[in-house]
Amino acid sequence: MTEHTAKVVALPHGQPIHHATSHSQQAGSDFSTFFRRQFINYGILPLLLVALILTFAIIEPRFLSYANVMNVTRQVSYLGIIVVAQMLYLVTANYDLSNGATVALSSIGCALVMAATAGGDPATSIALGCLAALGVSLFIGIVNGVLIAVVKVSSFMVTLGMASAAVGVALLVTGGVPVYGLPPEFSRYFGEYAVFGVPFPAIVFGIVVGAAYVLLNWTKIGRHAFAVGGNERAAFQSGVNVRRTLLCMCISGSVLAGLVGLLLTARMSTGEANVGVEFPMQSIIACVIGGIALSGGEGRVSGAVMGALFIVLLSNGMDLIRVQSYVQDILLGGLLVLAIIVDKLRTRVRLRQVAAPQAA
Amino acid sequence: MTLPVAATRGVWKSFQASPALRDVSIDFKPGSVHVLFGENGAGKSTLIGLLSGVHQPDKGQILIGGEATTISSPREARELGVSTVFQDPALIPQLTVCENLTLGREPLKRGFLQRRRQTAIAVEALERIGSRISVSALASDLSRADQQVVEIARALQGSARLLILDEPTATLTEEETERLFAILERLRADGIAMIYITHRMGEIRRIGDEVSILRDGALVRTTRVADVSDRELVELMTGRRVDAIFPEVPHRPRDGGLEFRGVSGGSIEDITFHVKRGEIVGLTGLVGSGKGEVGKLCFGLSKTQSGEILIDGSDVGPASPEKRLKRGIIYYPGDRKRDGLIGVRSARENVTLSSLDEWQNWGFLNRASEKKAASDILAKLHLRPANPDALPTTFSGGNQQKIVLGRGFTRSYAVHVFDEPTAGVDVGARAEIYDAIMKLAESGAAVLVISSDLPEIVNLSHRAYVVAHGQIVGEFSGEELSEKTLLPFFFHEPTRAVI
Repeated sequence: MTEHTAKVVALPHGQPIHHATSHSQQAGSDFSTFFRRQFINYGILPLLLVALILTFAIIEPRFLSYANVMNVTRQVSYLGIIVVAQMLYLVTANYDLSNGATVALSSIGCALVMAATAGGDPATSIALGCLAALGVSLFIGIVNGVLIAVVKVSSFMVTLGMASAAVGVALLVTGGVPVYGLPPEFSRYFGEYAVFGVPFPAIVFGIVVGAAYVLLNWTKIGRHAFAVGGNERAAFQSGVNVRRTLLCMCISGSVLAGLVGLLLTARMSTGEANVGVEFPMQSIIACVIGGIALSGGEGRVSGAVMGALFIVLLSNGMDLIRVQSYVQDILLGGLLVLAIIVDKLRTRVRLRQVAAPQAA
Repeated sequence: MTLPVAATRGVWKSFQASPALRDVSIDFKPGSVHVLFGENGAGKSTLIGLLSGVHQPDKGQILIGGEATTISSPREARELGVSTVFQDPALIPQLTVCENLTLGREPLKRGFLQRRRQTAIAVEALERIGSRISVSALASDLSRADQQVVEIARALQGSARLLILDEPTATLTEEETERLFAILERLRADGIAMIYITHRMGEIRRIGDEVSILRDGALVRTTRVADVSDRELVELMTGRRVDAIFPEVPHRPRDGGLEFRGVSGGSIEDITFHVKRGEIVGLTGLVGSGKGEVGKLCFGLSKTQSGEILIDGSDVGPASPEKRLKRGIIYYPGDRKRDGLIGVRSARENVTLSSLDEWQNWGFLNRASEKKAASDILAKLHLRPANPDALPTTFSGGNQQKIVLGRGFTRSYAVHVFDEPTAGVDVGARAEIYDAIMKLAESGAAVLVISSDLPEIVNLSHRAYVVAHGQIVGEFSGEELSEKTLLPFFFHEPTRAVI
């Protein structure tokens, strides 16, 4: 059927009718077209990253030291996974404000199970702990997903409620005290271990990035996720199983947050209920400056990675030049607003490409 | 001869070196509805833009009341008496009709709002056009048609002498359209000059006094509506003969296809009809007759309460678009932007969205072959501009429809259901869409075309049914399939009492 014979409708007078609607942007040079496309894809992020690195490298030589680069790599890994997790929600036009709470509750779940089984074989104990972390986050993902996809509550409310509830549970269970007594092997491998100098969390981050890229761009479910985020109604009428797609993305996003809970627990050697408070805001900022539209349907994993890198480099650099943490918070808040303004601008530039002088 | 309210004299306008208007001179006379007719890209919008101060001409003059005038902004245009009502509603939904009508010119006394005078102004504005919409209603509570009426009332405030209406009936029902026309007739009697843009032939006759046909930015002809036939109009607009628009499809019905057996659901009551493979069957009727519901039932967007829907003789299965697509039914929605297209994804991704399984290996997409297939389909459908990577929103209505239509060519479907396939589509793209529909039928698919456009039903389909009050009231084929025979059935009264 796809190879039906193309019989062109004859245009007797052979005059092109539609030239007025053809490309209107051809006037610009290739150079400016290239930059416009980069701006549309990534916003001003690549430029900002370069500016940031140069600035800090000049002000503070330690910024590029081996120790600091390792430190940054580790931090980027944790935040980066969270940003990718947030992105999985955002492409379907949903927020995850509960990713920090998911990290915290997974951390507690993981630590409690490991502490309880620490007397026996460490491998079994670690395996059970990991399962607990992933199980907790899976549960959160399912609850979020069902409420968003089936009950059709706004994700903003669902995940805001979940954030409060999950942190509440974590504090209740631990009484606000960190959970100690984990098998030392857990931290040694999951926190400190490095392969050819690459820290373990960074390896996990790499795998997550690769998997998310493949999921979003090379599978049906990824395509469907973008479609649902772009226009849910049209996606449904195009045969997309909207519920399944939303559930799938919510669960994947939350489980990735659980993975971060696991990694951070290994890093700290304790389970903490107050870890990850800054994640919801940081991950949304990172996504937006990475060109992932808040309105859904758009975004690249590379943008998410750059967004995470930007946030980490900024706070790391500010730490090094001793900017007060309160001041950092102010800057980060300002950055969020700035990022959203840039997001709007980007949309406008894109629409301008459209707005050729179209007749009625 | 009366002096024109407004006129253009040899105006030229280019955008980035491509001319959108070339040497256009038109007079707009008082008390006259002047229709602008032309395909997308013919220059209608640019012309309106010049008159309403959005654009300035590169060359030539705009005369208002006989004097050459420079209109540098929409505000200035309004001060000169030129008001425009655009296609999309521009009322503020959270405000009342009264507040919308007085927006920006609220009567104030020492800085405080004079509510009573504000209401009086609004009531007067509505009375002028004979409308009885409540001034205290919220704009968001009004129907699309009433919103338009309020906008017209707003446009006419002050000293409006020329009213520009850009496809005002695009989203209105027939009844609402009639009410709008009554208002326009009243304004005509008041001596207001009107510019009316439409794609619908019937409306030109119904409301137009004069018509100017534009093609490729040039004025082809200005004439009195009474002096030109429909056929001539289309030929003048497209520069081609009207026979070329509807393809001749040989009627070779084969076994199988779509069958409705006593189906009820939604506003539909006990309907039975069939579409054989290789056949194009039309389904028409008034707005609200339930004809659109039939398409929804086919695709599982509405639930079947009783009766059977069969494809190739076997039951169609559960009511979900996903499952119906798998069973070989594809539905092309009437509202493409809302129900068909993912605006932020490329044309190409939109085409393959419904049938990604075709390019899936071991759970992964073969993007190269997917890309090629979609590009080939869009090229065959003559997508213009021929850029499959562009976003759907950047295309004209006709080309957006081609993108949606492309889905039907990604794999073989048994049944294709079209809801208003050419609403908002210009004649050039229309011919290409009809051609594609013809190919689907020729390849052996059953094609159901649901449409309010009677010439489309009559000229495109092999057989046609008329729906009224949720029931099928007539079946037509061969010689009987003509506008004259079909039309009386539109107003058929229900045969059974509705319980």
